[in-house]
Amino acid sequence: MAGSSSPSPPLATPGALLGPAVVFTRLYGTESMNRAVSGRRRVTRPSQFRGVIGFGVFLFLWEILPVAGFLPARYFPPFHEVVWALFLDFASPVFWHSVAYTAQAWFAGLVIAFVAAAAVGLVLGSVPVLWRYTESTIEFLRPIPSVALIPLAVLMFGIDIKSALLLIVYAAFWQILIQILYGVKDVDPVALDTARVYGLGRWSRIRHVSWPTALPYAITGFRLGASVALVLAVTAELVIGNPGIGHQVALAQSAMALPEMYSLVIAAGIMGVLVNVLARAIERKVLAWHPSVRADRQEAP
Amino acid sequence: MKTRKLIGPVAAALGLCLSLSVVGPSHAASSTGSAMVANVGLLPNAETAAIRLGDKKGFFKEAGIDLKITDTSSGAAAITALIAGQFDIVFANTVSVMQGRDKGLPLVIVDAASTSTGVSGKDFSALVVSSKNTMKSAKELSGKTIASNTVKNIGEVTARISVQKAGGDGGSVKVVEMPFSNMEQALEEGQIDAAWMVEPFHTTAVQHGLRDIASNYVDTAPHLTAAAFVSTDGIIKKKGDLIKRFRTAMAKTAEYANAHPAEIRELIPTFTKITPAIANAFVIPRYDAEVNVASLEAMLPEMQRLEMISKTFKVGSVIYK
Amino acid sequence: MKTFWPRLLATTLVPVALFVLWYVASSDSGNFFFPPLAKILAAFDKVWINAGGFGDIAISLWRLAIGFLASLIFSLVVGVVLGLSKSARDYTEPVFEFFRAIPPTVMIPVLLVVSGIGDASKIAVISFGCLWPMLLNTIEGVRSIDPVLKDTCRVYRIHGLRRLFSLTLPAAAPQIVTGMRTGLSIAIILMVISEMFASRNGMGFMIIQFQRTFSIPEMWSGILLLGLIGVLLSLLMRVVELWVLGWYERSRVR
Repeated sequence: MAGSSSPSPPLATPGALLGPAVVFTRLYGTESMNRAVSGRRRVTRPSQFRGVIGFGVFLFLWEILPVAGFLPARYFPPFHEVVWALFLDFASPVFWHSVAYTAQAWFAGLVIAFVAAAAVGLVLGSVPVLWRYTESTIEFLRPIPSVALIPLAVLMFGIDIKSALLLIVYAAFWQILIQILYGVKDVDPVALDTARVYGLGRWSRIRHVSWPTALPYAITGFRLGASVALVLAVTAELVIGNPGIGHQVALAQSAMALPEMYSLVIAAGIMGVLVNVLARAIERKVLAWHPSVRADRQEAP
Repeated sequence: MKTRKLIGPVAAALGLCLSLSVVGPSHAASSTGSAMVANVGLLPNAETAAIRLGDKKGFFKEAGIDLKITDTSSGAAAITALIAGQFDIVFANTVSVMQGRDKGLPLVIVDAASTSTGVSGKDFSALVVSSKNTMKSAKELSGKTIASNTVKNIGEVTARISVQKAGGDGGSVKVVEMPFSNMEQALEEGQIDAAWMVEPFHTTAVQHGLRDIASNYVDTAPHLTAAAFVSTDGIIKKKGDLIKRFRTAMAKTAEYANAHPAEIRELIPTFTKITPAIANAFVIPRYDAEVNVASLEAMLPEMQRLEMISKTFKVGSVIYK
Repeated sequence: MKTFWPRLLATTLVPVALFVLWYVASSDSGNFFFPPLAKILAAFDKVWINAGGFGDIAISLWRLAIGFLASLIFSLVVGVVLGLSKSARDYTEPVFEFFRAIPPTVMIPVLLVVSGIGDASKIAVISFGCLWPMLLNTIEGVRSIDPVLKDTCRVYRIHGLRRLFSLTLPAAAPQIVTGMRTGLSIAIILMVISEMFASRNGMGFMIIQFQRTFSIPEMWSGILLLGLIGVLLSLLMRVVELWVLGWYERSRVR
């Protein structure tokens, strides 16, 4: 990765930064984010422009305040140093290995959590007896912070990826499960009865009635679970030492390589943004055909 | 229409397979020919320079070992990974090893890894005070605050012993936890009175004007074995041959490393973030292979006083026989 | 009353059964990482049910409370202001969304450098982490107030503080509470994690020390404790929710 003291970096090319800022603002500009799910994209030009300006002001302050001495440069390297460190990261294979590791842990954990939560949620939601008896247990287990399991994960798996997965799956599972349970509970009882009358077995009823109804909720759960999974993945690396982005941040901090540390924090933020974007894109794709969304669209003024 | 309905389940199945493949058993070590694979967990610090040098010089290949080195983040983490089956041998500080054995983990020290130089003022571990501090000896640290990278570890134990031996009250010292890299600043700002530092932080601080007030390893015992290579009862039973070969290679490595400090200094920047300038200036430990049992016993009373270890613990239980 | 006993049975059967199962299955456990539940409970008593233990619990919760409340107050103030002003939102929301996307635990090393090893640093971490969901949800809640209600206020000349307390806050309350719930769970995570680095006290510190010194029953007792704390805090949150929204819901149902 970057040497501990790189030569004075060139002043960041504002264009190279405002580019991503524009993209980012387009995605997260006021109002546009809220419309993302239903597919309406009324992104107003002035608001986009302002968002970029807002970003620009923030970056400007980050550059000026340390340089002018208002912020201690020892703790807050000016922005251009951080950007330089970020560019060096992009050129470093160690960085990309770390990103890949984090992404892998995130993905695996999320998928396992989703499948498990879907299975458990559908079963619990469709068999009222089961739900009545397990509700209290779930309400008890749910708020247990997954970080409480960190020492256990370390003891059982060391720095193997499984320790990160233990935390990720545990945390994401509950998020998704709760949403799926909402979804299954939302199923129209008339539709269920009709299906039963027509001789559909319990499994068929789940597949053809409960699951499609629960799908929007499941996707919301997926989106929430996706960001929780990333947080836990990075946290596991930070605390336990798995070789991902979180660990690189810890290394940079212990070597007091501050520009690099901040650049890795930004990289982690970018990963967070990508996860959100991906989750919302999946949401739009999967739910585009869903009647509740279609109805919305038809009613749009 | 049918294909659309299938996409969901197929994607889910594929994703699940991908994820489970990640969870699958971690690659097991296999032997290639007559060379046995040794999975070794090492901290990326100067104390592990010798074994890496030995590997480079081919001593391990000569002894019939294919050394596979993985970085670990701390002694305790390394030990837990060892118990979890990830490694055959790990590098860990002797205090953690004794604590583990005491609590029931089947740990065994197969070789010493790093030993104190035994020379006060020229050791790779020291208690450091700021440049403005006027204290003359560790005795004056009674009741003051000392920083260590983790509490209740070898640093704290030996620091308290240092203060006690200098005539002060080791028990009255307050120990706070802080990463090594933060210590210099905390000292200069007066947040702490002294800090336990190891290389390279120690030499870096001294170069910035801070000074030693005690050599805590030296004060604790002559030639303290600070860190060791650890394995478990089970591994020794199952792979006794591997352990024997390891000890043979380490004996040679230790001799070579102690005799060729220049090569050690040359190697250090290649696997750590330490710059060559610092690597040439700091104190390197002694890389003896023999464990100094008496030095470990010297730490027991303080460990017992701090309730870190039980009164019935015997150092012999943790030594390779 | 007729449904009391069946309901009680339904609620407690599975948890009690699981507990008993754990107790029995682990009673002769030789596995180092999974000691008998009996031992864990004994350790729980020894470690936490005394002045020292309470002290650690209290200091963790105190840090949590301060961090959470500081962020809550900031979110309410700034969130309302931004929620009412579209142009201010336009300028600031993208930057805030970026900060929200940063996994909050990554800020721990940063704040370690910036604010040192004391309480300030831990409170700062907790604050920073739970700020974004609460702030952004508050903004969203204020922004999406029914325009008809806003116009009604204007017609009846209800302005300023009165409007704030009779319209803005109550109408935004559901969103704000959603943000608080997310913020609380993030705050709990950060409370524990921040105490695992450069700390001297607190629940996270104790647990990580137990893990480092291989004191397994004590470590498990810490895990149980954190679970209990998590449950209690979420119950507390639910009470607050009912208090804030119940009043709102009741006035809506009319």
